[in-house]
Amino acid sequence: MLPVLWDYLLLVVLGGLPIVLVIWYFVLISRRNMALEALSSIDVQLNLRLDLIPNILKIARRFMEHEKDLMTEVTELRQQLTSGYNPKNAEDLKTHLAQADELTARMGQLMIQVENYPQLTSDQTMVKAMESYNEVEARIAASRRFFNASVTALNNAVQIFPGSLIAKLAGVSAMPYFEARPQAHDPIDADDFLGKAG
Amino acid sequence: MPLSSPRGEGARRQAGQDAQPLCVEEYYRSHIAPLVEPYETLRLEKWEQTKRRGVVGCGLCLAYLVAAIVILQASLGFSGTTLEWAGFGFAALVGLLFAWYRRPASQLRKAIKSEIFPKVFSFLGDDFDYRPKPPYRVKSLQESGLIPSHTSESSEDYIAGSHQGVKIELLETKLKRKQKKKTITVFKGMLVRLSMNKSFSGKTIVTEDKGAIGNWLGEAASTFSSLERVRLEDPLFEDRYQIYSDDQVEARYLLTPAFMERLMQLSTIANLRHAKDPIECSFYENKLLLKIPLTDNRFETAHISKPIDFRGDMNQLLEEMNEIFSIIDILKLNQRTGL
Repeated sequence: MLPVLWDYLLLVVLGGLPIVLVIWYFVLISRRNMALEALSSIDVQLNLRLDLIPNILKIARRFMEHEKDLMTEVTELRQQLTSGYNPKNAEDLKTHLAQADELTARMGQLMIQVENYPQLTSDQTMVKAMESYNEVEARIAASRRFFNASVTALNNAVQIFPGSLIAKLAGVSAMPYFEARPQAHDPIDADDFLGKAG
Repeated sequence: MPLSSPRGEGARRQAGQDAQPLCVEEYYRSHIAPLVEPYETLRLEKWEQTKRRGVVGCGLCLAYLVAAIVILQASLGFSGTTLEWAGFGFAALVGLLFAWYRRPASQLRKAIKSEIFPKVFSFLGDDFDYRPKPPYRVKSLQESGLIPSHTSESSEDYIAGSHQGVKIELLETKLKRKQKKKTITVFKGMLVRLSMNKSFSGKTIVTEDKGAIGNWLGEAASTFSSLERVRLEDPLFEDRYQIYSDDQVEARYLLTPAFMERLMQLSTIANLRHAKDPIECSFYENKLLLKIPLTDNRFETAHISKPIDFRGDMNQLLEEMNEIFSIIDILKLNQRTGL
């Protein structure tokens, strides 16, 4: 009686194991695809932003003579971002996301500077361009949250055993998060914005 | 908006920018007070009718009981069937008499709601519109995914207007469903539709988290079974709500961390706290629909026995509208900050 039971158990384990592995493989691939879909939604919004930037710079150049360096930086970053990248390569992706974040920061600085130029803030074309820009920024933030949620799900499946083995065989690797720049965590010195007192 | 505060946007627009806005007391004196006397006369007449009908009704019930006892004792006897018929007849009589007894009060309420309430709501702005009966049925909001399946609907108090540029549309409703032999109330409360400070094209629903099995059953039975589950970062929000959407990015665009926090804050509005179910919402057709469960009935008149001066009614209505305005203020729907 006992050997028969062992036979059944062995059959279940041997039959069940491939099923588990196949399911895990499907989960890995679907999660990677989900993360790539999230990434493409970021790219859609990033491209929208890239299209908006030249208009903003064109208007800003008329008044912001003292911010030439910043505008040059923005233009260079924009050019870097328009060159392609491989979304399945973790390092390539990390660089791409870091560039996107750098551009967000520089554009943020530019928007703050715009406030110092009343001619710009009263220019209707600029106001509309800034509104569109803010709208795109809000959508980028949403896409970033979706991407990070998808990456968490993928990385969990990749890093938890036996996912690590299956991922290696299937050629699926963990993806980097779209993180805020390290400078964003730094404390803010109000003097930088208000001018040094005394 | 406190009760002594200025009149709404519509009124201010009409008065011109430099004109001083009207206060509640001024508005009451100029628009409502002249109507008090005729309505007090009507109330007294209806109250007398109610009292008379009460006495007559009680007398008829008593007479029925005496007659039933006498007839049953004299001829038919107190058998099961005859007692059942007598009981059925008594219940039918009580029902009819109760409806007859309440008729004067309901006539008065109807008159006040159709003539006085619109004037009270006009205080909030010229764009405010009050109707005792909504112009559409709750079923037309089914697309939102928040309306539970129901077999009967009784809706009242439709209000449309705006606050700080946010368009408001609300109605009170009670939805019931027939289940085998009994009828259960599936929803009682307010449905509030607000214009949004963001434009969107998809549908996102925020419903109560009913636990794994409850959620699964809900998904299977509802219209949002075609939507995807959205998992958000806020653990407190996730504990309380389930989110479904046809666009994962748009769901996050609408439900920012700040907006999630504000939705949770809605339960702190004093009079909305009594309901045990949380406020649910749906973003669709570029609007936000809030489903607010309530235990009490809003936008009602004072009891027929109380003398009319409409001051209390007006304060009550404005207090109740103030709660709706608080929702807009808490959710910051008037601000286009992207948060």
